[in-house]
Amino acid sequence: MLCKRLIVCLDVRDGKTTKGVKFQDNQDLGDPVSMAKKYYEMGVDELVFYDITASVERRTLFIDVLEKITRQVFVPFCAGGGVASVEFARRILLAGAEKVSVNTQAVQNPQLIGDIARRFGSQCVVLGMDVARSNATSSGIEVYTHGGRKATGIDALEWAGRAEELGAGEIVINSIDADGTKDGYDCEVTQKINQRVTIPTVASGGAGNAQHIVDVLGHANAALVASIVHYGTHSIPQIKRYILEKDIPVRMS
Amino acid sequence: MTQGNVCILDYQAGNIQSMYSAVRYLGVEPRIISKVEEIELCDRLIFPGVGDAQFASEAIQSTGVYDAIRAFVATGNPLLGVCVGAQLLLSSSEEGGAKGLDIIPGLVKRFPKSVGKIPHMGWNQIAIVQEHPILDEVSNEKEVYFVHSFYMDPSNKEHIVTETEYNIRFASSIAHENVFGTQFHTEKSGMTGLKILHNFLMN
Repeated sequence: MLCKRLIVCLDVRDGKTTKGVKFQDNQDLGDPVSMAKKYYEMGVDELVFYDITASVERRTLFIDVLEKITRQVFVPFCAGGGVASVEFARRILLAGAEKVSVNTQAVQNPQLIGDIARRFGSQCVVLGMDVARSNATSSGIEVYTHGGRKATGIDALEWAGRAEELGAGEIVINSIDADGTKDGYDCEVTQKINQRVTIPTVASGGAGNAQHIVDVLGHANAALVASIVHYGTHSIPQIKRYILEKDIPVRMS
Repeated sequence: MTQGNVCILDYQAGNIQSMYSAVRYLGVEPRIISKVEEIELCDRLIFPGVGDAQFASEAIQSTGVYDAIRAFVATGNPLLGVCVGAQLLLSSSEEGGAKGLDIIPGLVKRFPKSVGKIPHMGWNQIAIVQEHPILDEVSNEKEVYFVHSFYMDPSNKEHIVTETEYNIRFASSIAHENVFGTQFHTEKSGMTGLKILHNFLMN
């Protein structure tokens, strides 16, 4: 039986891991390579790295980080942040990532999804969606871009369906409302988007404890965590044991 | 037998960096090869693959790699195919009508929509249905990492080494003489995947 996945997310800026609340006030958390290795050894199922470096020139630093991770981490990882071209996607994949994540640039140029999928396969194209509850769209969920700062007026369900048609292989649903609150994932929003597509979905934003993860895994194929493991309040084995106790299939390495 | 000249075939269709890193991590320095004439110089050949079977199939047919791989297999040296690289060991694929190497008879089929989410993406268990040296010290029902929308369906059940359940039961590893293929990514399957790779390199 296919296991539910526990994914750890690392935001990387200028080669360092950082974490913010509601996409702001970022703090330096350390070296992403050694953090990735630690999570791998503790049994994480997958990792995600978002490059939140502002300048394009610093991108090379991010690729270097990915290459170092590839040498020591033997579980899949996804990388993204500012991916606007097939060429940059290719650099990420050649650095050893299994998947590349597109977000703002895919909203601006939806063909980017199809272009990457045709060249490297749908399985490696992950659509990252920053979403928030809103009255501006018919489903009540709106897509945001630019790291959650800019409302687009786009309906999240329509965008998810369109992305699947264009060739996305997975969707990360990041709730701006829940992100950083530690009050739990936005299960309702996750469920609605998950039901709209036939590709796997990953819930993101709001994890405060293992029960939150169990709650959202009823509506998604994977759960993404950051703060609760970065700050050491929870460990990967501890979360996984809890998930397993609730009869949810999960890999115990 | 020492591991000899271990080669990873780069046919420009997939990501070979992860495989290269995993083999190096196991203490073997692999060569990345992309020219047809280099294939016969290999003692062990890894045929990796991420991506589109049709693209991969066209890439290796147009460059004469098909014939070179068949000639390599005929020498009796070990070949490991991974993901699309395993699928191409079979006769043909429904993915874009891709032609396979036909080393192991069978088809590559698209998962029916009824199985659930496609691609089959994530960690799933391998049930060992036949003993094989490459699975030495790998316990039954261990989880490994899959990402695929098409699955291998060998004509002859004797070629199936492990099976995996995703609402249908499919062949997750196949073997024939010196050839072994895994649908899952050995290079991204944690300790279990590394053990299988180790067995391929050392046996």
